[in-house]
Amino acid sequence: MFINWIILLAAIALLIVLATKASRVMSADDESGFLVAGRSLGPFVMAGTVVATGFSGWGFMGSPGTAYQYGTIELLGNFFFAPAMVVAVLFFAVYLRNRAMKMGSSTIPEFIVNLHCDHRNSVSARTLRILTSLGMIIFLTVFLTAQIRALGILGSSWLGISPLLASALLLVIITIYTIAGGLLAVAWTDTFMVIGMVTAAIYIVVQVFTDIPLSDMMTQLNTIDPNLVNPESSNPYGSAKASVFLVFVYALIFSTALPYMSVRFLAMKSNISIAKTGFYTAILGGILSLVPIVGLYVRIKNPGLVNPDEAMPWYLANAIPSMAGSVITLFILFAMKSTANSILHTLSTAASHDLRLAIYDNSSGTEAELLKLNRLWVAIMATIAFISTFFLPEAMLSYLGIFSSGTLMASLSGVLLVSIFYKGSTMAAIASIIVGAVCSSYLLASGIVGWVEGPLLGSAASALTYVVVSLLVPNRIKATSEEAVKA
Amino acid sequence: MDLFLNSWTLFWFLTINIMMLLLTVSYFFAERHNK
Repeated sequence: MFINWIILLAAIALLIVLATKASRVMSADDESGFLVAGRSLGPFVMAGTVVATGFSGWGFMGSPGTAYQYGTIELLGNFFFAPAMVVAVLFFAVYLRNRAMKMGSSTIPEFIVNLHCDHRNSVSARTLRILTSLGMIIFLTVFLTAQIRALGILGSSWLGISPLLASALLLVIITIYTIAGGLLAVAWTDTFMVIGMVTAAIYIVVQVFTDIPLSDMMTQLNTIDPNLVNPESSNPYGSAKASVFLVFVYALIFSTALPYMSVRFLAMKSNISIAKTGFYTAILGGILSLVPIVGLYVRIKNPGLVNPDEAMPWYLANAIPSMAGSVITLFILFAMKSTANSILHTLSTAASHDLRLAIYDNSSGTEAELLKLNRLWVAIMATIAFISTFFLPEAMLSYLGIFSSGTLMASLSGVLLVSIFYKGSTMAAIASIIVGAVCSSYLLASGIVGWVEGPLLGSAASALTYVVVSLLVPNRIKATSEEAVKA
Repeated sequence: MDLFLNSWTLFWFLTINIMMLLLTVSYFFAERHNK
């Protein structure tokens, strides 16, 4: 236990050094430094932060458990996030960055408003902005709360303290560096942490395949149950074999329509090499996708686990030296933290930047005051999320994660994805956000469809509403100019 | 190779991995060509 504290303190020291450096590099008198890292991210940091944010603790804890229970189908299902992130980087990132820069948008709600409204101060534009930022605040707070709880559970057994104290400790660290360096600190610490995560994945793969070569592993799994190697359905992703491919569509919407993923694209350097960024994303994502192999390995070594989710903890405690287990646990904490810090940053800017601009006029405060306000809101949102952990039922941790992120991505897929091909009206934007959120949350809450299908159907409903309402209620130039005159 | 052909999950895992890498590599050449 003592050694774990030393490892953790060393990691914290490194994270704080990175954050201090980031706060110095980030121009202190400029709000865009805090919001979009001064649009300075290069290929490796860009790939690092996208992959670290996209791969949460699920890839290390939940996914090996699913692989233990269902076999190689999980290896394929979980892997789809890597190509989806690559496609998002290659085909979506530049479009989003260029359009946002042209319109002067530094956050996702700002981008959505600028894209759909002719006048930023009109009633409809303010409504759209309040709707987007409030939706983000609600769903991302739930998502962050779930992540903090997961951090607390893993941190408590690793450090020998209570889950509450562990989650508080880890949240304070995240909050400090997000306050210090904004998105730049988040991106740099993400990149540092993704190197740790990839190291853990490589160690695991080498250890597993040195012990049991791939072909032997498949032969032994086949003896236990042929469905583990050559499944007849896509369970748990659906009953048809092709259902697993829906995960790719889900992951693609996840990487582009979730604000805490896509805001990173706004922070890209203007002359960045997209090919290099895509290549690094493919390598980092590809390596992290191999982690569920642990589940297959543990299924052979210890087929009698009562709870499949214990596959990774069992592996760390029994299959490898305790020192390696300690370090890998730190890297799993990294995977959770790198997702949590990105959510915290996006969540707090939705309150400090977007909600403020939607409610008050543009002309309030100097850049230095705005920066202080942004930093203050990181602390406020972290406190709110921490207090919310007391009200969160533990049994529903994964469900709440899927529910909040799935609903948010469904509601924003009309305004962020369909708008690439077809620019809709303000009313269409408002309607599609509401329909996407209602549809996805109803489907997920009622349980009539699976966790992948709910958000996908919600996204489809949001996209359809966006197009239909745009055709029925287009933006009227005359009406908006009248509103502007009134304002 | 037989291993990957005998399991449809492993087959697609390998195929999509290769497609993903080919896509990024082709982007490299496209980017260099445009410069």
